[in-house]
Amino acid sequence: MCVESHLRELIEQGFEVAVVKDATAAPKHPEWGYGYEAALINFAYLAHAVLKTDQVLKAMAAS
Amino acid sequence: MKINNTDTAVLFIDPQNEVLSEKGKAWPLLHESLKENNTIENMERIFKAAKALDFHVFISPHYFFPTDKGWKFNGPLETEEFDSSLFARKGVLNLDGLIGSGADWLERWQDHRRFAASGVGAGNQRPRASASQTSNQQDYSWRNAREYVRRIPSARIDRTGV
Repeated sequence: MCVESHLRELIEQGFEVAVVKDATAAPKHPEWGYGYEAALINFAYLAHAVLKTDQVLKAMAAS
Repeated sequence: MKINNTDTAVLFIDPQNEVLSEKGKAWPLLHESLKENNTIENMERIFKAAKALDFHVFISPHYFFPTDKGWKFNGPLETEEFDSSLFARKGVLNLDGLIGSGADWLERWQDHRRFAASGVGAGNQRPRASASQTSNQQDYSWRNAREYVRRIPSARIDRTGV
């Protein structure tokens, strides 16, 4: 929820945003479900890139 | 998307005890996900790479202040967060009780506070875990920086320049 809120806000402000999906986590709530599953879908719809930590480290090192 | 240290920053969101420490109030809901993703270790790897490769780092911590209890209604998640005093602090300019609390940084990242502040131009020789350092950490996060400006009557944001 918090990551997605930042993602949406930053996109609205004109940034390109990549989310490192395995550097996040989400609650498993008994009634509301696993927030991470919803987050992954919305990351895919919203973010300019959805990466794993290994990928982002490689991209940072290559820059 | 191109990534480079001239125009790409690393943003860390809520790197705090409440969600990442087994002592945190949200741990029962989060620990399985943290383990499955290896979240804490991965965040730390990115912290270290950002430091080594000279990327700017921004921190956006989550805090609730007493004034936040003035809302007439909240969504389900915020209702739970208020009921359990998640991320609670005593006041925007009050650091009493912050050190080591659920709202504070995860203990293993205490040293990264200094790094995060230094990443945006502050001195990097501040004493570890001091109140002033925590204040700096808050002020330099992008979200709180904006709130900080808004709270000071004499400060002005030049919107045309934003």
